[in-house]
Amino acid sequence: MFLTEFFGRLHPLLVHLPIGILLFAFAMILWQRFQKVEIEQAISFALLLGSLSAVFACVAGWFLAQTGEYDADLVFQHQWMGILTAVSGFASYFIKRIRDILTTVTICVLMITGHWGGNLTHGENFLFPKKKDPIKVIATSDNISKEADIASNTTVSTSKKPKEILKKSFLFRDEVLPVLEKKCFSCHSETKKKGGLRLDTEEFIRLGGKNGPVFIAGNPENSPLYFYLLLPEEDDNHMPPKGKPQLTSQEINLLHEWIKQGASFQELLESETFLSAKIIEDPLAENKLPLAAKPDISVEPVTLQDMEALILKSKIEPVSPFLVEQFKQQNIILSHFGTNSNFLMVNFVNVREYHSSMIDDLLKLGNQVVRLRMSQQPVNDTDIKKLSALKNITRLNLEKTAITDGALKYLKDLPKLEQLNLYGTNITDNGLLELTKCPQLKIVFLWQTKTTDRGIEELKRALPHLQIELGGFQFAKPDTVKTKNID
Amino acid sequence: MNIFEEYNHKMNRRNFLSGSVLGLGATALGSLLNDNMTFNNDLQLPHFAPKAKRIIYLFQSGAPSQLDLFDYKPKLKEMFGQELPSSIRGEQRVTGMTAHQKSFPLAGSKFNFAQYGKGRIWLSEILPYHQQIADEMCVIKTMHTEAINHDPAVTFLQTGSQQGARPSFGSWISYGLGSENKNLPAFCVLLSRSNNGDQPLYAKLWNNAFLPSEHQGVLFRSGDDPILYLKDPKGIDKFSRRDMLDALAKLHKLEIEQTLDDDLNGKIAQYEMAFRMQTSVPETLDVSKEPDWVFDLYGKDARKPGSYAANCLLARKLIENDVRFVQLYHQGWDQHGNLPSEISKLAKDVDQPSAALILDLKQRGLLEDTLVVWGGEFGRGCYSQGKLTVNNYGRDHHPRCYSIWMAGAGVKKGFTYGETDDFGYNIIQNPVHIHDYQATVMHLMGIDHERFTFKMQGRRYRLTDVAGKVVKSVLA
Repeated sequence: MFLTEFFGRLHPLLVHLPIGILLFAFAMILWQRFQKVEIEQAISFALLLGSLSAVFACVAGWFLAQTGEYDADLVFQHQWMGILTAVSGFASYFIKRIRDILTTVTICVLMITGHWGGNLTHGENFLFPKKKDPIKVIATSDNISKEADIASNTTVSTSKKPKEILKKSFLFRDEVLPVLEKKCFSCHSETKKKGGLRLDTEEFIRLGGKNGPVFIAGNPENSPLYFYLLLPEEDDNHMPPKGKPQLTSQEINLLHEWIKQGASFQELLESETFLSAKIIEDPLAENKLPLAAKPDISVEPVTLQDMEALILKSKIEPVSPFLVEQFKQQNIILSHFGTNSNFLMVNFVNVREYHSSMIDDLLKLGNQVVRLRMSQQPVNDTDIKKLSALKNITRLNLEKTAITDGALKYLKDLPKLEQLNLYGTNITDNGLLELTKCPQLKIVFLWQTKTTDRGIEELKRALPHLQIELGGFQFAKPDTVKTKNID
Repeated sequence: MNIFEEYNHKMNRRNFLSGSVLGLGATALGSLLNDNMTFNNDLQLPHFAPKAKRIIYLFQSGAPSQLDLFDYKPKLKEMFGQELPSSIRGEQRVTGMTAHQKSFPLAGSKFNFAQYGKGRIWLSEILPYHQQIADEMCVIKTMHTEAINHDPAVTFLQTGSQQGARPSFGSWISYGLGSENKNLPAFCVLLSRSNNGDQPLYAKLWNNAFLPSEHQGVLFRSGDDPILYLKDPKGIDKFSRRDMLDALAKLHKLEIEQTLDDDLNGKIAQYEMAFRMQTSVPETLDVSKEPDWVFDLYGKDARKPGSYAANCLLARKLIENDVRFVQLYHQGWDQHGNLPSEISKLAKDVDQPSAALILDLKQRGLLEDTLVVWGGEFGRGCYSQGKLTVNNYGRDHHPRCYSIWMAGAGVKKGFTYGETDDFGYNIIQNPVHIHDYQATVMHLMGIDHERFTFKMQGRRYRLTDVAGKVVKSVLA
């Protein structure tokens, strides 16, 4: 029932009353004893009020426990301690002879209750966080494959042996699990199971929560464990919830890759783990390894639609018609993504007199903007800085604008940017360095820029999955002799 | 309907009530709920997220022979000179030209074929530049139509019906999606022909029929004056023109209040568009500032205004300025006789510029959201029309299967769809009818072809008429 759930959610609010009031009663008892003031009535009043509020807190707590999102054992302890707090509070009120002792007992019980309550919401290691174990060296010989030619048994390949070097990396254990621990366990582990979901062991991750399984191996786009991360912050389903520490784009990509590669909880045969950008010195190592880690130059087109499709699936409020009219006056075209979609594509093609204040107007649109086309307008670096507030941008057309390398450093603040067109701008290799900080970028156009092969190589190495279009195509002259004969 | 009936129709009680009430209601509702805000039109288009925002349709008029360009049939070479088995031909009607032929000897293509690119696309040797863009092409080998002759066939392809008097493809798109660029028409048409241009083209192919008249295709002619009567006559300057247009608009408004004639709205819109085009068109079509390498890429013909290559370059410039639908027509593919030498000439005309267009769009990032289509109105037959010799043959019309290719936004790269039999006569697998093709293109532009209709004379018309299924397999 909605009311009981709501009342249950008041528990964290209500507990502050008995804590404050009973502590104050205790303070007054001390004051009375040591300063010889006469505040017996005030003490009685405080004890009564404190105990009554403790009762309400207990009732609310009971309702909250009904949601089942908290560990049953811990709840049991905390619950009875809380009840004991209320009982001993009333005892202190009624049994005036041993009031002082009873109040002291109440306070002690209260503190224990409060501490256990804190454990329930923030985890047992909140007050004194545990130090992380040093990174284990994966040097166990029994993990090595039975193939004869494996020369090394470390994960970092630095030797220049000509033989085949296969590495084992524990993607889940070493990369994914720490992320889950840092950002998810506070609500999805043993002590607290929001949505009935636990993420602390393989079994529980596979089990899923109240709304079903949270991942489909090989399919990150349809795995809530991944796509909830991409939803706009205002969305109820966005994880982690607004206000809690968010995942970085690298962490998001890590989860994407892990699920895409099959969501294996075991070790993987890989040439490098996803987050590290180590360059393999051994020239032979890459050739013999499975294709999973190699940049794909296949016929399949870069699927740009993933991120965009995900954004379009979520909900957002429509833009106000007043704003639409304002943009019409300035010749900025807004088009929507479909009859029922409130997301927008913005096009500056008709703008004759560009002014930086147009960007300020653009910011009023917020997260509705998914594609932005400002080709051939005199957009400058400060404009781009302002634009980085539009978090849902997946495509940005800046060809033939006045931006320089400085603009590119703001692009890492666009976590969903997948397609970037920079042709005809004065970008140099320095700008490309900034682009290496955008791991979610899928395609970039660099024709007629001031970049050099060196900068482009750097970019390729940092982001091997990035499709870089350099343009400058020239046809190979066909052999015209044959065609002439036919005439 | 004569004018009085029209007037009555507009002012009858039902329309008056629905018009005023719904109109008021809609505005009120719109301001209250802010739901389904549409910015370009009242049709709530696009229906869903588009993959392609613009389209270039390279129409090859006359019907290019797919057997000599895209569809490799070695069996025809093996069976050179033998009769086409009647089991294969079935009940297919032939044109008047071959109906009286006594024999139908099979004629394999004189040209060599090979596979190119990672998609292993079959291309003949007379398309050397296409060979270099094979990785971008998505070839459909199993297009088919019912029309047997050019006029009904081209009309079918462009308007969705063999009978004509229907809006053209570009007009539908212009009506549905409009143009993002306010200064250029949404639908532009460029014509070119090879030296032996034959089958004529008609203005109905880019006409708006019953759609509002501002959606007709605007034909750009080659030469100094791409659009006739766009320039102000001597002695009139821009400001005089503007004053005149303002006054004319006022007069038109008075007239509309009296007669409720929708055509006047179209006329006003076109006057205004023409005014804007006076500056935008010369600017956009000016190729004098293009660097030399552009003409290397498109071929030296690109310097000749009115050639296919020059039109491809213009198409790119129009697309760069967000024109919605650019259609090129290249005439001359109707080789009933003398095919090998004639088709090589035609291939030479279009090969390099078409490929250059793809690459040019690609390097500007435009290929990501522009769709390019290349194809004709039907195919050509596997038997020779006229005398068959080792070096010479002709081909008659063949509607049962033919090839087109697409590239760009939303279509698979390096992909072949559909299979024809060894004679290149019938479709074995995955037929794509004209309506299916139209539905697919509209789908790529975010339009549900079944929902996009226009009510006229009591019936809801749509481009795909009463048929058409989106071919999901070619979509990326």
